[in-house]
Amino acid sequence: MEIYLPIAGLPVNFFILMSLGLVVGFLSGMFGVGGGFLMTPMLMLLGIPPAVAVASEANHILAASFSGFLAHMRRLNVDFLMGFILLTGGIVGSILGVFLLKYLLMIGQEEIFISLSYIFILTFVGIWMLWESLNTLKKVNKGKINKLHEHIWLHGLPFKIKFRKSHLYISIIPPIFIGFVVGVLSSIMGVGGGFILVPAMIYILGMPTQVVIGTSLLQIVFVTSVSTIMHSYINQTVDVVLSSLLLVGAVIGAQIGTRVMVKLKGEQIRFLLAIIIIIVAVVLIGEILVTPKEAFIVESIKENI
Amino acid sequence: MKSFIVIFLFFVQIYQSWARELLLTDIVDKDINITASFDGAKIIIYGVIDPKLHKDSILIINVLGPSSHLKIRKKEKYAGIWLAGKNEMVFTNAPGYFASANNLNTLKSIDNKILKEFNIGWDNLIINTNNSKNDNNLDIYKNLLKSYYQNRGLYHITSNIAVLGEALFRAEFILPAITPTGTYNVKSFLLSNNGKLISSATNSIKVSKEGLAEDLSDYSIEHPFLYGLLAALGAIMAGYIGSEVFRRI
Repeated sequence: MEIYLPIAGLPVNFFILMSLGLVVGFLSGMFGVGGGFLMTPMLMLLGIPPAVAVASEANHILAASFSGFLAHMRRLNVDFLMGFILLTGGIVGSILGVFLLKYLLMIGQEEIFISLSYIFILTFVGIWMLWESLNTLKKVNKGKINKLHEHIWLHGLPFKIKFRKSHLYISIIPPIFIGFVVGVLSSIMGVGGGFILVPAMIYILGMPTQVVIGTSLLQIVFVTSVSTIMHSYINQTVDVVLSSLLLVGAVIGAQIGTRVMVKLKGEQIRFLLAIIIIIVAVVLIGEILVTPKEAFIVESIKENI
Repeated sequence: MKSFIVIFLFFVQIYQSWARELLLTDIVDKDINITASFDGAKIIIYGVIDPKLHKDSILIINVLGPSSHLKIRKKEKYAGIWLAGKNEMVFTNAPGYFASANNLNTLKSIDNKILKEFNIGWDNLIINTNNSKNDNNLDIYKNLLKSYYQNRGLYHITSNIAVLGEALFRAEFILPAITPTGTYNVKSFLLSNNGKLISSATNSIKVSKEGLAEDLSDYSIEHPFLYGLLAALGAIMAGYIGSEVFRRI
């Protein structure tokens, strides 16, 4: 069944969108990642213009992450204090990111910068996470009891606060900084940043994996609300028919993802997320190595430029 | 049924004015509406030529979609990886759709001047660019744009003008589902076999969104902030409903 998308300007199959939404919702509920890094290439494959894909996705991820967030909140897996500190850094970072993107666009190097930094971060995070989770799984099997988290020098910086939910007593400087970096990256790359935020909270802040997922979703809810409104206000690229079709699957998927997640151990979740991140990185690397079917990009621009 | 009445009225109209005009054309459906189930459309053109001219005259019909600014960037290989490079060109009046039909078996026998003058085929379509200094690259970019259009069904060239009897002709053009909205101009030319223009006619078609598709895209442009706010609230509501429903099952 084909449905015409009014803003994107083309018809798309109803069932394809439903199942895409379901998969991404599942990932969102299970890993606390928005799924934008998976969805953007998929929607573009269906022929949806990139600007519309990114903007409508923000709207759809908002539904998925809010659905997942509520499920995690009921299980008391959200650290609100940590979430708001991350967000403060995130807002400053995303504003700065918009200016950085403008500068990169001006010198005409944004494509190289964005695709290479994207691939680099994904590969690095994926491999690191895979290595770490495999080691932990091995240790658990041998019966060695793990420390709650490693204490690193960053935690000893001034302005220490107690984060009850995360069982932490650390400086607020690292969370602000992480939020800032994620904000910059999400502005430039047009992604929610969950796939960077989740590993950063686990490995740099030392938060328990289950709390990380709920808290990451809180952050994603805020980021995607703002970007839905901004994309609509500035570019008029939010296609609500597209996002509605995606979000039906997404809210269901997010609930299922949350249920699966609570049955798994932290290191198992990290292992699975690592695999997914590595798969996406490999696909992206393949994309720039293989000769493209269309060796050009055509975009419609506003007049008087 | 509607189209039959249109065709009937059209013939009545042609019959009345036949004596004066050498070429007359009309379109069956001048308003193409894009609704929620839109999956492409067909433009059907009927016309009549003075029967004395029918033999060995050249008939050309061009359909040009609404024009827009298009930026095209070439992807290039840098150290083994494919990236969109700095090289680009902006076409300032690229038609959103272009189809050209004629009644010729081969274009080879036709003078290049005629092909150029009447924009027969992509290579003879005139598209302006913003930069004059890159002129030697124009053909390269124009060819890239051609394959972009062809891959999406936005460019056709055919020789399928059907001739019915002595004076009537008919041509069809397929619009793909992604065809842009706006006014399409249908230009018909009747040439003598040595390329002299005998007569020409122009019709226009309006392709517009209708119903929900129209309301939504209008609202997104007229009230962009509210549209975004409602979209965000709608998503939050959907997330909430999903969560509540699942809590109970």
